Amino acid sequence: MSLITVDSEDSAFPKENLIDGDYSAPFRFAVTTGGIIDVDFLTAVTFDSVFLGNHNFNLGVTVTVKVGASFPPTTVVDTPGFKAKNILSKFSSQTFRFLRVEIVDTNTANTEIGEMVVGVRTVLPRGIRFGFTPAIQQEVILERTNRGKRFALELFQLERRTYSIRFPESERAQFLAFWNGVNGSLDPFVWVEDDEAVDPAEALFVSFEEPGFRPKELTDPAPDSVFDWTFTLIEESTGAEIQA
Amino acid sequence: MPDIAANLLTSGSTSADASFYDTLSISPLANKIILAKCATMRNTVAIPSIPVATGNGLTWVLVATQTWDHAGTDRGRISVFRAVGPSPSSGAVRFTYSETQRRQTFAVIEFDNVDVGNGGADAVVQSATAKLGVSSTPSVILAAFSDLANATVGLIHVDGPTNPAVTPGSGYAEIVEISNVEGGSLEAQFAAGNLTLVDWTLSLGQESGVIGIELKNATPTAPPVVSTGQGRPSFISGNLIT
Repeated sequence: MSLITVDSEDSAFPKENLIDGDYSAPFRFAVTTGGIIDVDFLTAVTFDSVFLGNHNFNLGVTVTVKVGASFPPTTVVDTPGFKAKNILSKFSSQTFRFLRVEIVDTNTANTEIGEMVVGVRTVLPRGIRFGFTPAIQQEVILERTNRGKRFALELFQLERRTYSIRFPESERAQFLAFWNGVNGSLDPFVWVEDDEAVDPAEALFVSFEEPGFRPKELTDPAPDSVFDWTFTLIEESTGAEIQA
Repeated sequence: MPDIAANLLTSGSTSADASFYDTLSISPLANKIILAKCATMRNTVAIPSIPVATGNGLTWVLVATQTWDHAGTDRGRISVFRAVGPSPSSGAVRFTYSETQRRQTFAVIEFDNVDVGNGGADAVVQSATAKLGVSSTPSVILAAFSDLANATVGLIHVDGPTNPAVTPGSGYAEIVEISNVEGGSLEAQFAAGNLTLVDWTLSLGQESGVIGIELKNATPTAPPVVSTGQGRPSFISGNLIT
């Protein structure tokens, strides 16, 4: 269990929303100028990434990530640049009890963050092939009545990204570990399409389209031992786009 | 990807007239391909029959055989057999001919990291043989190899009555060289790399029979997986903030 403290809070959007898994229910500072988020892990933990998902920061925001063995942490490990929607702070592996994220923003609305994730990035051994195939997933709730009350048609959309990766047998264990590590449930996870891109890296909050099912795997017959994976991730950073 | 390695189990020679010959006892390992080679000289002016190999509770399959000239008649023959099994027994390998032979020279070699699928049939990708006249540089050429990880085995029997020294070809390591007291030398050489030229140098030009073999690595070389130039993706599993 971790302890989260903030220096201001909109009571309708409490700090607990940072880790509730619901990107559409954000945490909000009580001011438009950002603020400080402190995390006490209660014991030293190892991490190399801080993900701020579904934020409303302005272009000129400054974000500073600090760590330390005592409170308040003072060692700056990263000052990630602005990226719309999600910001991923990457730094060398740190093992500390305290983490601080300082946000200085100039906003027209109270500064907010949909979800905050702290963890260790696992880099896969090779890149995806030829980008991704984009698509929009649409789901429709048809008009119906309930106890005489009519509910209008609702159409909402999620962005789908279909990837393919080709790898040799020697790397298959790492790809299986990836699937086993994040699949098997509907819980989204942080995904960076290109971890080696120049900062700021684009990070997404995604889930497998078919949770529990291993990506489709095509294998060249021996002796080539080359595997092709095709899988689709649903991008959930901004939640469903609901169109009445 | 480990290289194929060769391990000599036994070798020897005899000048006794017989229709069958036994090697010394060997203790083959389970699921390792073994090549047993024998070189014979018929005791009459006639071509030796192709022998049959038995022993160790294994099924021995003829890989290649080649006669060579001795005094104007193909009285000599070099043959090589393969065998593999999950539980071979200790004992001698026996080479049996349809007729009496004059002398015999043999060697049994075990190999690591060779594909032993299909009862050992997958071990040998190809073989090539040649009967060579008087030459101090005998050789045989194999076709291009199917995989960079495959190895080459070269076998030669050099005719007597002298026993020329046999020097392995470039890139080869000699596994064994045996001379028969009545004349003639049997030599085996090995290269883990892709050598298609199987050659030797003799200290004295002689007739010879040669066999070249391509052995298949149990772990083939994976084809290059083309990088797209895109950086590697990463993911975070779970959240340390709980």
